[in-house]
Amino acid sequence: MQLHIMRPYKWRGWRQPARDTAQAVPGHRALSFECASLALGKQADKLVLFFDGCRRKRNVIDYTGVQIATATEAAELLERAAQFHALVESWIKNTHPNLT
Amino acid sequence: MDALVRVGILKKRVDGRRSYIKANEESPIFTELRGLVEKTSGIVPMLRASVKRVKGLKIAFIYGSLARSEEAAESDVDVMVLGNVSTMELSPKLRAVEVAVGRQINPTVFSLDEFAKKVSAKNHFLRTVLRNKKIMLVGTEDELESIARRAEDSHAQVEQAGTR
Repeated sequence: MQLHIMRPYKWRGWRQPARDTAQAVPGHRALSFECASLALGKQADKLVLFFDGCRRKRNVIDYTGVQIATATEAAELLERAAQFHALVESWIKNTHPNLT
Repeated sequence: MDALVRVGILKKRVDGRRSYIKANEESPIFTELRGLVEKTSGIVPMLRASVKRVKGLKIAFIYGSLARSEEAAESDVDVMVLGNVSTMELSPKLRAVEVAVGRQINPTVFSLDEFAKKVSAKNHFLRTVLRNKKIMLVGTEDELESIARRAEDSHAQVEQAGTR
């Protein structure tokens, strides 16, 4: 998922600070979502907001332990991830056909 | 403002040329005033308005510190949603309220089927949430209890059938 989120903005020539990897850069997940929306445009807004919500939920669960993730939410996350994958593939075909 | 301070509804602290004013939580009418504000212009009516037209939503309520009136100004707001609801459709509506009130809203979404299964399996998290105070946004406490009771009854029937 992280990889798909990052592909469009990397191919637009944008890079994350520190080093060209998502590993070990503080806030890299939040940044990835912000950039995905910028790179893919309005068509990705709803999905990106949804994934950002999942990211925040993961933080709440990991750091406070007062929330749970439900099977209903997990099922939707998988469905939306597949949608996002298809969106990124289509974006690559349209904007960078040489990479397909 | 000074009149409200004089009658004890607000508290005022002066630091040099600055005055800091806040609600007096020890006032005998603090709870009623707080309820009035929450019901008219607070986060509760905003959330209620934002979720009431979400497709497939049967029940929605606030639980946790806000429902128990124990929250700090910066506390997250925990919302439970039951029904055939798309979290992706729900997210922008909740985010708009977050921006307006400056507090993070944490939704937990259950399909009715998963909710019933978890209740009948005596899921600790859900039992705690159901036992504690809630602020209903969509649906009533009776409707919620009826869904939970039906789930427990059907689980009891399955258990009985298994022991025969």
